[in-house]
Amino acid sequence: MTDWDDRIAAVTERELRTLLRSRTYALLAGGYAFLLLAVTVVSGASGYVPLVLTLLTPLELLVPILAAALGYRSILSDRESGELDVLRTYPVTQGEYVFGVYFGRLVAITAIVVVPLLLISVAVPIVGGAPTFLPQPSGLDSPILYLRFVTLTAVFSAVLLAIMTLISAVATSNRRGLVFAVLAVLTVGILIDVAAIAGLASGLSKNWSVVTLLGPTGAYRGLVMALVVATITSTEPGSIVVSTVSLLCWVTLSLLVATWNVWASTP
Amino acid sequence: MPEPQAPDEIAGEPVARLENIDRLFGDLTVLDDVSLALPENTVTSLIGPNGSGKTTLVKIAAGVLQPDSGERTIVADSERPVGYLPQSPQFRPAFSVEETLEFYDDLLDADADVQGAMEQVGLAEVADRRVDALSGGMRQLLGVAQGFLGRPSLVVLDEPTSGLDPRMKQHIFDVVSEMATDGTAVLLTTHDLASADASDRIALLNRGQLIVDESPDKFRSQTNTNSLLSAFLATVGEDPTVQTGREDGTHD
Repeated sequence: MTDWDDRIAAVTERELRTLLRSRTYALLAGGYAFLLLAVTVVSGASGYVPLVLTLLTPLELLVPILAAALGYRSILSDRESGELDVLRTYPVTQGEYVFGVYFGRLVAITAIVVVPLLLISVAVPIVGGAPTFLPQPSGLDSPILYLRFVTLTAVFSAVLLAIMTLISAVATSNRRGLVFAVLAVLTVGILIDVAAIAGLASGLSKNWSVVTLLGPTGAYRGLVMALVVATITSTEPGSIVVSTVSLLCWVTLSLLVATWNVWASTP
Repeated sequence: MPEPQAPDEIAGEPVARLENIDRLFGDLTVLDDVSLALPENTVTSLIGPNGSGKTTLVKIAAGVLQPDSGERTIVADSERPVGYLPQSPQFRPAFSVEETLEFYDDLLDADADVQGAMEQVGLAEVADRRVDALSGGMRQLLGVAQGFLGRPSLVVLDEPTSGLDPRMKQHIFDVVSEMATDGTAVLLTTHDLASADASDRIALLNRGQLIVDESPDKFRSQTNTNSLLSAFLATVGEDPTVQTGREDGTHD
């Protein structure tokens, strides 16, 4: 008897097998790991929190690009190949299909994002170096803080992958999917921050900075600063809640809209 | 409105009925009041000029496109009432034949006989071969095997012989005819009238209207011709620019 979880597992396994046999996946994983390593070596960061601060900005750019590369064709490729119509004749629901695709790609992006981060951290105790200059509440530079950062980065990639899955579900052609994905990367990575900074510069209330937390990148940065670097919790205690709710909303709404739309957008 | 009936000489209960189907794309009427009954254990070849609405009709029959009006009824006791093979399907290229069918099998409650399906279409010997290493004919056979997984009441195949050599076309028709048993009806579209002659029934669509629904023999005798091609040309005319009925040919 095939239950809903078995059908999700079947779709998830299919996505994973597809990615693991793809040269593009290997190139993405290798390229990403190389860039992280290069940034780390060039910065000479010694200590977990300095390493977090070194990697934070590059990750804000790299993770959306990775999510776009892994996600924007996830459903679109089935639509273009005709397999989406074939799938509709099987007893698999829209939700089972979308979540299966999402989970498969999620495992893949989590592996790409997390493994190099963990490997790089191994070098910190070896390199040693000067103590961090940042004022930590505990006074310690701990690997636990770094693990928090890795976890938050995995969550960030999960949110962005959900957005790209939505784009893949609504796009009716490869060209449109690519344009939407690029726009999403630009909006998430740059435009929301620029809007917030412009608002602050033009004299809007300090609360305007909360706007940055409404975007996935701002929310991710806010959580890293609050829970890892611990420099802003005393000034903006609500930021953790706002950031968390923001990320939850992005992932939930993206997957729900993708589920609702996936059969409908078949031409 | 009476229910559409299969031609008298074709025995078998209809397992699928399309009744008074209309479909428009913008202002363009692609299907105009089409009714068709599909009896069990028969192969119906849907033929017609380019742009006559064949693909639109089979998509509606498969349930992947909704009509603007009209009804589609499938009599089914299977968890998968309709099997479907779209035009030029591209299964995951890095998957083997067996993996492709096993994935679809995993979506079904009851275990389908994947090994049996591969043997029926003649792909058992290349079960481990990747999809991107298959010939065009083998890919279509894989699609046919997929279409019959789960023993659906109706199997819809959109141009399963497109772009294939005559021998492979005939082989696919033979395979499909052999598989149209145990209560399954097959509706397929084709431009290959020589192969379509072997089907149990011919449905001819022209300018969105079903103008012929007969056995090949009766179609020929009604038009006083001795081949399906002659019967086809006698019915729709010989000038393709007149018969196409649509300029862009997007709704084949």
